[in-house]
Amino acid sequence: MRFTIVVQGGPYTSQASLSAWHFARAVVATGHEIYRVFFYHDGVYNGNSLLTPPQDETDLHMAWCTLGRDHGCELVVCIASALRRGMLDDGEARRYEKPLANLNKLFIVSGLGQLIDGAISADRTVTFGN
Amino acid sequence: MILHTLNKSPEHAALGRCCETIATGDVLVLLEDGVYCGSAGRDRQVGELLAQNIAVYAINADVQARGLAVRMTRGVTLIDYEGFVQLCTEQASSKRWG
Repeated sequence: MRFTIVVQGGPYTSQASLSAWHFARAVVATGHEIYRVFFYHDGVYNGNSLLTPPQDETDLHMAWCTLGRDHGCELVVCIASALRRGMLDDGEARRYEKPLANLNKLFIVSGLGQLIDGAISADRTVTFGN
Repeated sequence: MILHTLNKSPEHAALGRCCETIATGDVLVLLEDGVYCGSAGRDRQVGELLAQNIAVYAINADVQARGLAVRMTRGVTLIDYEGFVQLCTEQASSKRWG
């Protein structure tokens, strides 16, 4: 069965992204597939490549990157949520003449259409929020 | 049928809204602070759901993290995340309350 997972909470702000990550790992561990992880609202902060948590704490950013890399699941951040929170990939940083890009290259900037597509294309959509 | 998730303690309005909507055949999964809704002394509404034969589950890791293992209401089933995924496959869709 294919899952789309929606993450609306930021790392270290609420438990939402940690719960979503545990759920995502369980999806692949039980032989199912993740079609897409869609990061919305504060959830976009999960894509911040500059996050530097203490070494004895779960590095949620790297945890999502590892999941995306190892299982080929698409990590999508909502562009409207991302831009207003200063989460930019190289293209957006150039477009808005910002000094740096902080979105990890494993994350894709896209629109709400990808959330709708995720809900239609997956068998199940599960949301984790604040 | 719908899998409902709830991640807020019983004092939050989310529980009431969930209980107004949930129907026979649906299931409720308590996670994060939502597990308090199934703990002794704070479980009135969850008790009513159980009395209506609505299945209520709680994420065991969240129960343990809050020290509620011995305080959970009889009838609330503790599950891990693999169990959560399994429930999602058994229900047609999911709805988050929070």
